[in-house]
Amino acid sequence: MNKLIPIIFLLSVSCSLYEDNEQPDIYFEIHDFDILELGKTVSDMIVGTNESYLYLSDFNNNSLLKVNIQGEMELIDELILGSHPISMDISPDKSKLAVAMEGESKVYIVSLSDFSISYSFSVSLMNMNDIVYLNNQRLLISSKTDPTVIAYDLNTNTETSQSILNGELVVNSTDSIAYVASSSSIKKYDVSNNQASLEPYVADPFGFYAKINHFIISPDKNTLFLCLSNPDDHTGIKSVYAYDAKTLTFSGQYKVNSSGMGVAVSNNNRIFIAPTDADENGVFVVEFDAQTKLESNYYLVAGNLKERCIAVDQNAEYFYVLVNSPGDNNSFEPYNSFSFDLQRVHIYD
Amino acid sequence: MILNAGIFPNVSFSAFIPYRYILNEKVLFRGQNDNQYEGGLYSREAYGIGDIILQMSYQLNPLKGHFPVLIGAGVKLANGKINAVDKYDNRISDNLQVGSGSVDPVFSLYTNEPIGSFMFSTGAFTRISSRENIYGYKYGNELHALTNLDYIESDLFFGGVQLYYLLTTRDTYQYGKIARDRGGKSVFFSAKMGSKITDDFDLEIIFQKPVHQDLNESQLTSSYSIQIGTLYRFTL
Repeated sequence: MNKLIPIIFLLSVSCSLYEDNEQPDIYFEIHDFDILELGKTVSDMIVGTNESYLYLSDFNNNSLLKVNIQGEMELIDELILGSHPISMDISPDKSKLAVAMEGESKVYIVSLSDFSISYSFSVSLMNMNDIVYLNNQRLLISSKTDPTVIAYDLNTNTETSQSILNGELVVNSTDSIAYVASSSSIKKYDVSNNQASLEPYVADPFGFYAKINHFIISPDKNTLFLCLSNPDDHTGIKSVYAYDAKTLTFSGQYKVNSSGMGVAVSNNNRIFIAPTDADENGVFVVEFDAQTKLESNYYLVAGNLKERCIAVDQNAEYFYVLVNSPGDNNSFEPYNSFSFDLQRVHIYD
Repeated sequence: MILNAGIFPNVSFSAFIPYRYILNEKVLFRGQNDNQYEGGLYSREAYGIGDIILQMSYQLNPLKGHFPVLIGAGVKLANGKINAVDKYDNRISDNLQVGSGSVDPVFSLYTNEPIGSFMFSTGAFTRISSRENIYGYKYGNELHALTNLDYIESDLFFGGVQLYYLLTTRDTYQYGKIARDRGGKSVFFSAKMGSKITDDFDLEIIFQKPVHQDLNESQLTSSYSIQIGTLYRFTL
């Protein structure tokens, strides 16, 4: 029996060395992902006004997608439009969707009640990149290549060239103010009259020829959020910038360590930023607190993110992103790499 | 390769010389690796002789002819290379290197008992990491415990089942910073069968399947594994 004592001692010492009291941090697993597989190249997304549907412009397939977001996500309708839809906006009366094309000089007006094309019209612009409703009768449309923005009156079917440089557009309909983020700076215009006039507020020039990834205004119309990148230096921009909508002065800098791909702000002022680059452990959408301007939550998503393609529902229950999982890119289908799926993410209470 | 030699009637010496080939492939997201900014498939590879384990064993017979106990102690050497690099000449992760970079003590305990046509055996093996390697990485401690029941009656074939318990603690970086995705408990069930090709040469195949795993965070695991092994006996 005495010979067993050292054995028992060694065994007990060995086992006691293996106590592991470390608890994992909050961690998301693969089954937490809520994904609708689309395999599309989406250029813009917008949440419908009744929170039941999400609309996506399918750039490669020249169509508009209607996705049910109540309960399990489901693609319920697809509407063929013209060549390469690039941008869209919902009318203030919530009845229509205006869609601008990159591949043709045409705008489509889609009825949201029956998801059909109400009518379309031609414009003088080529390579359109953005479209917004000024009010129910007027649209503001920008182009990548034409030097100035146009206004289009839907009642008279007339087009008016504006003294506004092209760029990404944002509108405050209540005050008839338009903001334009161009490759060099942000400018503010009074659009209450037929001809827009430049307001005496201009944001400081970026200092380089910027690519605008996303440009939005907060629901309370007080703050502009700008995601920009420097095509010549992909590591140069590490933050999303916020500007006071009244004076165009800086009101915040939200650091995500790479250029912002997109930004969304909920009605209760929660800010969600989709970065360009992944963290070592994956791709995270970062939520910021509007007061402290610091990170408050991180949301793991299933792949690389896309310009403009983040939206939050008005109840701040979910946000939606388009994700491209790099493992899916080894496709034999011609011209169909880097396709995106829709991911819904529950917002942490 | 395992070398085993009896030195005295109750004392034996064994050396475990592993050859390791490690291939890790993953798909990077954009921006995760500066050398491959747009992401895509990223492979890391290391191979060579791993850390050699040298062990002395002493046999005790506390129960007079039954359940002889083999108690062993030794060291795991630090001969395995720990500086493999990827295709961009950057050193790859410590847990993908063939060596650990530290000399560590090992202890083992083993007993067996024939029961009719079967051999029952059970044992435990520990590896205790004593220090960090020169890169500041310290492997977690390990406890391996296994129980076997083997059929030994036939001169031509043998086979059996094994229950294998593995407990690992997290690896740490310098100053004790915890490595993510490491450590946990696993229980594996194995079935094995083999043949005595000659008196000196055995061939065996082992099918192993995890029956319980409680691992920290996300760790890639196999749903099963198949091992093929050989054994050659010779005298000097």
